[in-house]
Amino acid sequence: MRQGDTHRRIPRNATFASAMRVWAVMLVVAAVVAFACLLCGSGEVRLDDAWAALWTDADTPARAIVRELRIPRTIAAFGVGGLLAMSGCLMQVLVRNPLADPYTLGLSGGAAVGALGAMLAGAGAFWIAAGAASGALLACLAVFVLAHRELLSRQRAGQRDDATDLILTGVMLAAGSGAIVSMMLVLAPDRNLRGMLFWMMGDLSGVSWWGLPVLCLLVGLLFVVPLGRQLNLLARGEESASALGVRPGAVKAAIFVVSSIATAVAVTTAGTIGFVGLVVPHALRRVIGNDQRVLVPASAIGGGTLVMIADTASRVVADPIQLPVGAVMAVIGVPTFLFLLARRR
Amino acid sequence: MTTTLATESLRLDVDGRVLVDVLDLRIVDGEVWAVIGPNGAGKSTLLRTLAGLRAPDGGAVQLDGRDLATYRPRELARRRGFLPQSVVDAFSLTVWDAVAAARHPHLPFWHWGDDGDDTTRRALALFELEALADRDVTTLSGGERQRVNIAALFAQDVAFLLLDEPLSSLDLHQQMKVLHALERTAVREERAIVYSVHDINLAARHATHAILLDGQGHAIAGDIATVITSDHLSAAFHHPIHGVDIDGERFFRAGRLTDTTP
Repeated sequence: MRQGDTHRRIPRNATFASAMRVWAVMLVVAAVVAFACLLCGSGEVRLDDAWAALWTDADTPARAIVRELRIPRTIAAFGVGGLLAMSGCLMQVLVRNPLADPYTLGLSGGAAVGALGAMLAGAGAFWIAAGAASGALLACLAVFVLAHRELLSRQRAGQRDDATDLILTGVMLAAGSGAIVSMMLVLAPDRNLRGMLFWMMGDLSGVSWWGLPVLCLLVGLLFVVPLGRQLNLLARGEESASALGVRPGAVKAAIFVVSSIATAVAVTTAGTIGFVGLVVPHALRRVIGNDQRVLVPASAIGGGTLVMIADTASRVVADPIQLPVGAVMAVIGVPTFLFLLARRR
Repeated sequence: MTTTLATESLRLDVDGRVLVDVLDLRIVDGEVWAVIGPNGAGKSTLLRTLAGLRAPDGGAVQLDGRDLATYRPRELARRRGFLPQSVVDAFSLTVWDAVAAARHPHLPFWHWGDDGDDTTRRALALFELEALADRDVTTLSGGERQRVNIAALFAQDVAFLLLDEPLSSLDLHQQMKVLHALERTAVREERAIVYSVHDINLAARHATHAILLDGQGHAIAGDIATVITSDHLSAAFHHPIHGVDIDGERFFRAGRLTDTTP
């Protein structure tokens, strides 16, 4: 370190090779974690049985559990975590505020209202998913229209910084949907209550379209990663970004759409799982720096890994009872976040 | 190749208030223009309009004979650079990355944006920032951050440099460094510089031309000696400003307020 440079070094991540190294290491970790998640679970299946079940075609009960329950669930967990962390990362750039994530912007609140409304009406799984998706997208639309009118106008880089508007609108929407949700919970008949509570706290058991989140994650990343340089410029401010040839309106609209769809898919699959979108990009920023070209894919991998761990913990800790993964996530996420924050000072 | 930034009867309004009524400008490379005027007179608005970041409220701005609005943003970013009055960083990033990011308009869409760029290195060296290259911009002092952003403007490598108060929060040595770098690049590399500044004496000494705004629609533009005079300054600032000759150089000082005792 240079003389007199007593400040914390933050990594410079400018080369493609170094980015590839970061991603490769994280993918290896994710793969190891995924295997561990497949092997661990409720006590009925022993570790060696689970290991054998992965590789043999022998028709054992362990094989059915591992192949038909754990594999889909683990893949879904990775996809959901990846989507949430990616959209959290994008939304933080969008509003230039490290506190933004799908939940602080009110998207999950909207999804909860939609899904719980469907449950209250006694609808089936399809309509619950449809309710969640439309709730999330409606909340997006509301944030978009209320706080971001100029996103649509052709005005070149307004001087006004509307990040505060956006986040306040999101917080208000979240508070409003929170109120509606509690009313619904009070009105709900007892037999629906448990399902509703689990949905609200995030639940990966009985995931139906388990491949969808991973697929959406891949498509989203392919769309967003080429915008990396522009995201970096946008993170420093709209005025300077547009002076450097970025169309802030177009890029912001693109990342808003991508992160909204990502959140909608994640919420539809697994209910509300908080903290992933907030904690993962934050933690990674401390380690690999704030270069969006590297950070967005890294967040996706990291978020996926974290939710896989949280989901396995939710299955194992209180076996045979399954805990809601959202609550487990919060138990892991809150101390991690506070630790990172405290170390920074 | 000469480059020209010209305005034709440019009008600037902010919230229905006319800041500049008619302004005809012709800025060519090699010239250094200082924009001066009282607070709220429209200095920033004028610079942003000249940068094409804001549409004129009347008249036209042309770069090399072509209306600014017809340029694609990237195309424009390869021709002109703009330093906003303040860049507030919400996220950590290194000084190197902040400066290297300004190479964006010169790179193709799919380009990763590589390290080891000579233009970036030269820009850092010019403003004595090599030692800070790995520092986090959010931990720098205001003046250091300002130098980083000016270095980024040089890394952008454009023919027209528009700077909104580049000297604010710089110490005297750095003010002189920045002014020297601006004047030098204007002359040696045939660029045109437009910067806004509060210190009239700095403007008078480090510019070839000036634009004086009074915020009420009047704007005087032209050669520095014809624009910066006691009469023009006193009228624009609504305050008596006298010229004093010291060692053959003319300095301007604001008269003390005499109508009330302090």
